[in-house]
Amino acid sequence: MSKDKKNTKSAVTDNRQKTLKLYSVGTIVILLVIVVAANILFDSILGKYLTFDFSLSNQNSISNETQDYLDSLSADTNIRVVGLMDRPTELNNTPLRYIVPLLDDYATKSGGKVTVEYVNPETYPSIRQELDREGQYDLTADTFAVCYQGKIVSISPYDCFTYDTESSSYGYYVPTANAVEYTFTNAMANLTSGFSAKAYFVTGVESDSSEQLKHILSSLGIDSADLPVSSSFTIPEDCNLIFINNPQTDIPQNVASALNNYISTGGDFIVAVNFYNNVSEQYPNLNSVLNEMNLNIDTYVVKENHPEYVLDNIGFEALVDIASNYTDFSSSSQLRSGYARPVRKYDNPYSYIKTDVVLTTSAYATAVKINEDGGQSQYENEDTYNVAMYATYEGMKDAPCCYVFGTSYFTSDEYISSYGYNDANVQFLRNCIRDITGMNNFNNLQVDSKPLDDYSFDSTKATASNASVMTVIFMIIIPLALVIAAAVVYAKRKNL
Amino acid sequence: MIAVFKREFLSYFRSPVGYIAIALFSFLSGYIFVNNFATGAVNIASEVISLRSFFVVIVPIITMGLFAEDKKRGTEILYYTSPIDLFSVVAGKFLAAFCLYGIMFVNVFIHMIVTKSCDGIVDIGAWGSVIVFFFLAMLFISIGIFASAITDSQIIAAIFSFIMIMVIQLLSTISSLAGNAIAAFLSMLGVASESSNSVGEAITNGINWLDPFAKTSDFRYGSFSVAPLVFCISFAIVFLFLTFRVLEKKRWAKS
Repeated sequence: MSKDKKNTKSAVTDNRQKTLKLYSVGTIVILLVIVVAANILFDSILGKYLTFDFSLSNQNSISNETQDYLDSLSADTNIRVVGLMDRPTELNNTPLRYIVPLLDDYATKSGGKVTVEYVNPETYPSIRQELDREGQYDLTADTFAVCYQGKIVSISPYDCFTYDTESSSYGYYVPTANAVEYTFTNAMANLTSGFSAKAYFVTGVESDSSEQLKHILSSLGIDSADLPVSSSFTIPEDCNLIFINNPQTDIPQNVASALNNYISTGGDFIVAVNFYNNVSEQYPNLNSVLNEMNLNIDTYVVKENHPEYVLDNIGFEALVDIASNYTDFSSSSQLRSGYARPVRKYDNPYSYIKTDVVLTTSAYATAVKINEDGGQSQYENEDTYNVAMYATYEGMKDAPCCYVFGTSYFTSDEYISSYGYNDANVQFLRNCIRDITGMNNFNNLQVDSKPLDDYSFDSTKATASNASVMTVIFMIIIPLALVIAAAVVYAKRKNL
Repeated sequence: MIAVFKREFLSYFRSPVGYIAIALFSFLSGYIFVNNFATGAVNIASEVISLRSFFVVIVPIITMGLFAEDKKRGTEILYYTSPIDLFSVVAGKFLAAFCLYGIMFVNVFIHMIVTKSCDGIVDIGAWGSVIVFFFLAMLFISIGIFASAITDSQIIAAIFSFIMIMVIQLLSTISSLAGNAIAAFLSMLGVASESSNSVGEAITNGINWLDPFAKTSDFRYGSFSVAPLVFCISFAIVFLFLTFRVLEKKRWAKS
């Protein structure tokens, strides 16, 4: 009887334990399922609404300008952004830290008009064929392809920033501004607007690099290529715009003739020269081309004497006024100029050509001649000098147009990289390009680049002695004091 | 719960453990800060992100004794025989370890003050990193407590939590390795390349979904999201619940 009772009690206990074990495991499984399901649902339903960008200059969010552009697109628009890589997980210290979160924001806020995906072409080789059936585009790995109706713009992550030119000449790439949104939104806008153009840079005349300017053109949907001077120099038929960007030597005669033919067929061009690169160059051949547009550049340097305009202590760097017809081209009424040659109307003007003053000095500027010994002599009396002019044929359809800048402060890599894409000069140049290419009829989007985070602090405080003090306090005194405290506590309590 | 919290929190300072943990944290954070300071640019967010790598060492130190120590001393019987809710015991111990983490973090606040006084920037990304740091601390401390509850040995508890945290820290690497391995295996079995890659990618994504570091990486850039924080809290609750169940099981066994 007693044995039976024991067995019964044991059986009850076993059953109770089994039930409790089942209950225990069951509750854990149920909790796990609830937690995983709740997280998945929360992430997919509320995740995007409960994400907030508090970063400096909203680095990770699209601006109102981009949002307005996306809203203006029809609901059935599908812009596909494909990152030709695995989705990056480690973004720190890579350009992707500014790209991946921003692209996610495009996808979130576009209402399905922009999709973002990451496909590694090494894992899925067919992606290149899928995006670019005719093999027209250079879709290399680790770049982004912005695709719309069979057209593609390829963007390298490194093209989404402006860099300090001075540092890069020493092999260091120091980004100065974040142009990720600027690059992607412009790429989308150019694809959806249908605008396309091609610009050629006349090279081989000791001109400076034009990489920054090419990026600006690219963001405006204008492809660019070099056109080296040679004995067989010809201007390609697909050319919509010619750039002669800060040549240090004059263009050869045959190039001048080709340009004159180009002008006669309605070709547009932009010329920028300055005094700094070659003080004695008179550009007779280039002037012969400009003369065909009623313009001429002089061999002197503009010296500003108005104290409110002068930017350096000698007056060669100064502010210039924007002429009234061009005030819409910039948010600022004055722009920077430096070592400018005067641009003036040709002495024997053609009646059918209309010229416009674009940028002028104050009324107190002078033209200065640099003598062979390096000294200066004043060439003309105080007056207003033109630093940039515009010319076109009057009353003619598809008339040739040109902008001529006497300064490199609008087009040089050095200037653009130092001041970034948001600078008033760069903004002004962009609008000149839009104007001359007729781009405003397609798209007049203005997206700014964003300043990058800068964590450097007062250099007078980052001294070696201060660093030593910090080392002693944070790495020696504080940890050592705590270790001593630990030792004291241990010694006092070890026998308790 | 408050009584348990008080007892556990003070016990950190009645033994060398609390001091040593804070000293270690001070030294490591100081090392990172001083290195940045010497370059003339201090990014507090980077410092906090680097400090997260030391969870793997610091969390086991401060959690290994939470339950294992009681077992060693034989005082755990009090939890099972006294009329208190075992979840309060777990929560009290968890809070005590979490508060110790808070005290450790005072070092970083001092670094922030020094940075500001040198005209440096303590931006929203830095505060985002701090928020993430504490939420990850919650998750890892709950793992450490669970490790401490399942074994009688502090050393085994420390090793277990070390491995768990290490695995979580390496999840992104593990996920890509696992994805590639599965894809390669399926290819070997004759499955079409794109299908096997898709399966591999699905596995990579599935494992990556569990990675709290990847989920919270945007905070340092000033992009705050509630979902990763919910993820950390909910999984911290899961581990605390697991700990509670382990204790409950022992209570039944004692009875």
